[in-house]
Amino acid sequence: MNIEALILLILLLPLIGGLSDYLLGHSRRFIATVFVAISFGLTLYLVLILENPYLAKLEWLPDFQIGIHVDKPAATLLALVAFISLLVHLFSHEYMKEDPSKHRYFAKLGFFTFSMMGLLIADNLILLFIFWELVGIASYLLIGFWFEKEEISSSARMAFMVNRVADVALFAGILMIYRSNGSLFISEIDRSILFLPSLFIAIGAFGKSAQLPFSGWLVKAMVGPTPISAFIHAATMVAAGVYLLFRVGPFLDSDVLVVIALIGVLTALYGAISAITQNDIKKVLAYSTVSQLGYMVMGIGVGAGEASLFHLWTHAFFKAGLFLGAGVIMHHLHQQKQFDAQDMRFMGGLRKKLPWTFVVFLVCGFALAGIPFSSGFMSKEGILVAAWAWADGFGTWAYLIPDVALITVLITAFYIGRLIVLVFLGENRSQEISKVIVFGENGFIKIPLALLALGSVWLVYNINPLAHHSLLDPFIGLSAVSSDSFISIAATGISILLSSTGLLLAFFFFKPGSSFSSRYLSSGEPVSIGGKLIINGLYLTSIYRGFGTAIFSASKAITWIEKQIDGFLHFIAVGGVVLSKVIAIFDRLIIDGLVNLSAWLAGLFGNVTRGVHSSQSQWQIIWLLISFVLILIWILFF
Amino acid sequence: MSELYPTYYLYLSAFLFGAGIFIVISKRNVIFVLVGIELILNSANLLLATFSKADLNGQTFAIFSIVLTVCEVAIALAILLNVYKTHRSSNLDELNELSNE
Amino acid sequence: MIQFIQIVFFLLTLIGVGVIVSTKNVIHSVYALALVLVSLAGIYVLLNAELLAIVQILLYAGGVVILLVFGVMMTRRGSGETLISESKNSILALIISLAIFLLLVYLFSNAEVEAVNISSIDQVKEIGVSFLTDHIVAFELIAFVLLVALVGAAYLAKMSSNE
Repeated sequence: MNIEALILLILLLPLIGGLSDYLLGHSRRFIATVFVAISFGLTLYLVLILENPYLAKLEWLPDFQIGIHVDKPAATLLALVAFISLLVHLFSHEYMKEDPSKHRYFAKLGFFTFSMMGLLIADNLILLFIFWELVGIASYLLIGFWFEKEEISSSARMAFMVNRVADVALFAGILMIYRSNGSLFISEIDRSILFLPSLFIAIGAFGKSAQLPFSGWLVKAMVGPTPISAFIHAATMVAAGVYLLFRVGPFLDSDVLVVIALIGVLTALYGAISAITQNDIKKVLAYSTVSQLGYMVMGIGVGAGEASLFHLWTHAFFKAGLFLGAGVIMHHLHQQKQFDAQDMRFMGGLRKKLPWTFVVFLVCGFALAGIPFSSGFMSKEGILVAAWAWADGFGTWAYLIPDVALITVLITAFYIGRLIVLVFLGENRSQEISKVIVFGENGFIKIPLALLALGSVWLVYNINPLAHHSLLDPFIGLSAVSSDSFISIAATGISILLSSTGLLLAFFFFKPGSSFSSRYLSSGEPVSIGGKLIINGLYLTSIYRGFGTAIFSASKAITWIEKQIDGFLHFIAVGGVVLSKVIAIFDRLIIDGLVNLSAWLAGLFGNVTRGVHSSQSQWQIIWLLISFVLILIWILFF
Repeated sequence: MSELYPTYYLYLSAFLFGAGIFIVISKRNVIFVLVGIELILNSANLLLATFSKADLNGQTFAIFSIVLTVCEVAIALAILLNVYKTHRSSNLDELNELSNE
Repeated sequence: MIQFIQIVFFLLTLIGVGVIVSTKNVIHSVYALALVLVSLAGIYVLLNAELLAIVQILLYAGGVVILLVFGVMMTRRGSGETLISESKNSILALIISLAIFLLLVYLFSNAEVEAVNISSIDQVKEIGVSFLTDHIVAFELIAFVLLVALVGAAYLAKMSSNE
């Protein structure tokens, strides 16, 4: 079949599957999943047969064209999205089987898959923006899935709104690019973009990928179902920002690239620091996502876009694995129903109850930390080496970026180690009320978890566990970089050292029975200012709320000013009316009066002279004689 | 006859004229007004006669004037009789409409 | 030199006019009018206008006065009632008539009147001749007018008496 039909099917099958699931009720449960599976198969086919980048344009308005551009990286990412979507569908069959709104869930999943795929293949910036917004809407719908709870719907709104604020910048950047380039097609951008448009596009990407200062929404978005967190926030939507930067990266202004790298590495640090203090499993994983996204963004900033794409791929696998595992844990503990099933302080010893999950957690956790023999190690190495090399060429101060990145490696290992120790090792710290196990590890759960763990192991990518190239290279365009230079060896060595240290530290601090862990488990909320800041993620969400309130108050103030102006205008209008009434009176009295006066005088004169023609004849004679006398006088004497 | 002082005749004529005017204006009875008219006409006749000198034109015209006056009085009285029949009054103030009905 | 006879006639005229002006009785004014007319005829004689004087007495004092008396008689409300007429606007009339009188006096004061010569021509014959030669047209017209007036007056009077 030809490529257009292929692409159309890939995109539309998930959407149709989801819609039909919604409309037909969830009786035919597997329609959505089957359609997504078919779509995934088609994406694999596409990846294999795609030789040259495929461009297509369509004129949708007079003189305006939109188009799609499918090259190897785009096709690869399509396959990734389809695969993760398939796994999430499978997992959700088990996870959501008690939920009454399942059909709505699968419809929204299908819609989201469709939007994400569309974003990946869009070439025209306007089309990209359209799909960008669609992804935002789909994520809002999915985060707020249990919208009956006020907190959940407000978190969904916050996610959507923060994204919207960043999208204003994105749209401004798109418009400026159109102005300076004359064309909206990414494939047709032929010179580098100026500073301001680059900055705006970068800000737009920051919003979607939860970089500072837009990080608050991702943590709040954990109120959605856990498979959704896995799908959206681990694998796909947050990667949209990274993908956008990857696409326009070669054309961005170099100063903006430095800014991007800086923001990325700072976000990585911020996410990691916040993660080490959280008590909630999903919050740890959320901050971890923020941190890893920071790595990817930093990678784009230092010019290693392909390395970032590789890290995106591996992060999708291991983070989704971690999230789905956390979902299993939560569902298992929800049966206890006496405490917050997400609080790690009440967990422990789950390796005995959920062995499969434990193994998957270990594998994916090591990948997150960047331990050798995992895929995460390889991709993170790629970024670190590239950052080091970039700083080498820039100057002394630029070493800040790789240094902070390496520190973050340590912290990353620490927090994931802490999580694993608290949750799985030791003895169960919660009181078990019932031993009824409703949610266990059945096939629907195990297979996705296994596949994801598999994707986190090094073997899939390269025989050499220490290399940072992979089978994926030709697919994502990674060019060959020498891996023997001093930089790469030094970076690799230091990062291995740091990650192992982090894990050991975590084990040491939090192992069951240590004094630190018992102190930690019995402590309540943090009391110091630093502690409060860190555990609340620098209070970013409160800052967002403050913005909203400030704008609302400003609009109220302006409304009040408007009212005053209205009052003033009203006063002027009343004054005008009064003035017109005065003029009317003047007109009536004086002008009309004058006219009336002249008429009255004429009447008077007429009445007087009418007397000449009196009805009494003697008067006529009198008048005659008077005039005779007067004429005579006049003749005689003048 | 001795010389007469002719100017007095003129003054008499003027006096007659003034008196006639006075009567015409101020009297209310029709007969009175006719009397006044007679006085005026007579003053004119007197004037004519005074200035007649050698030729007799003055007199001639005065005779004409008298004849016409007689005609006029006759007609006036005939009209007065008719008016009196309808209005039953010979007061000029009340004779200001053509018909009393 | 003013002659006595002049004064007499003047006085008679003045008295007559005075009576006319001041009386309220209509018939008295008609009588006074007759007196004035007769005295005027005397003045005409003094002005050497004999025919005029005779014609005045014949026509005026004889005809007009009789007519006026008949008019007075026919326009009375009842028998035996004296016709009283009051005057109005006397002040205004006095002013106007006085003004006219004074104006005329002023006019006449500049006139030159020759003295009257008593001539010895036969005035009646002369005037008669002039009627039929110089003033023939006026004469005929006068006759015509007289006829018309006669017929008209007779007709009008007849109308008024036909009830």
